[in-house]
Amino acid sequence: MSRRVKRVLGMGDMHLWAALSADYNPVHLDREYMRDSSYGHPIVYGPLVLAIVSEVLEAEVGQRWTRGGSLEVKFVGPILVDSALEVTLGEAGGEVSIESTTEGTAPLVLALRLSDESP
Amino acid sequence: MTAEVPFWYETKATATVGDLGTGGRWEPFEVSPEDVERFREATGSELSARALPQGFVPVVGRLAYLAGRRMPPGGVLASLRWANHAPFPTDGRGLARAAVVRDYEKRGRRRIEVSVQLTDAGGSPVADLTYELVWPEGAP
Repeated sequence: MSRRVKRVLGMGDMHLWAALSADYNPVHLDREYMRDSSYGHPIVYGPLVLAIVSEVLEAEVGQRWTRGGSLEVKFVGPILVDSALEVTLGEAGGEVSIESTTEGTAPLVLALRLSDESP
Repeated sequence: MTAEVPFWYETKATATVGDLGTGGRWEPFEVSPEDVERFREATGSELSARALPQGFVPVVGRLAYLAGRRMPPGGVLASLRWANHAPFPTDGRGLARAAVVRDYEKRGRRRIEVSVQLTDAGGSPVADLTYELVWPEGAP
């Protein structure tokens, strides 16, 4: 089992997510506001990244994720708007794992547990 | 590009860190067809249109702890624990309950944990979430 999804998340995606989540924090939406910040650029919504992770899990392992699956996530670095995000699902030694990377770094630490339900 | 903030957002009250949540009450939620379109476009979802993506869980959870208010400024999501019990309701409707379960200071930052439970409209569990949120010291 393996799957890799690559997405470039742009400002259009941020505006869609803002309307969906009622979150208009300028750190995600305003290039001017972020120009002088330590990141220098707007950052992607964390739950949007998790939604993409969930999409990969739902497509590949189905009910092992939606019925009894769990995920622990630590946000350890930013994902900048317009950068490429890769989400990779893999299996080794019977264990399914998932990771995300952007520009050669791992902005999330993800610990996945799947249930024994059939997909 | 400058953020286009809708007028209604500016009229919302801003929550304080300590009062995030629904006060222990179960509150209804509903995902609209417009929400589904936005979600599918932003995530590039290729899942069946007959089911609602499980990725709605953390979105609905966040809306539950805000309870119709704006996020206290300066807060960031540090971690999330997400446990699924059942697929997201296909009718997009359900109930949510949210409460601050931990509120403390660490390394000069104010940290809280918010616990959220989601069920379908009939009360069957869908998911449990715990958000760890961090603010600068002295956040209200």
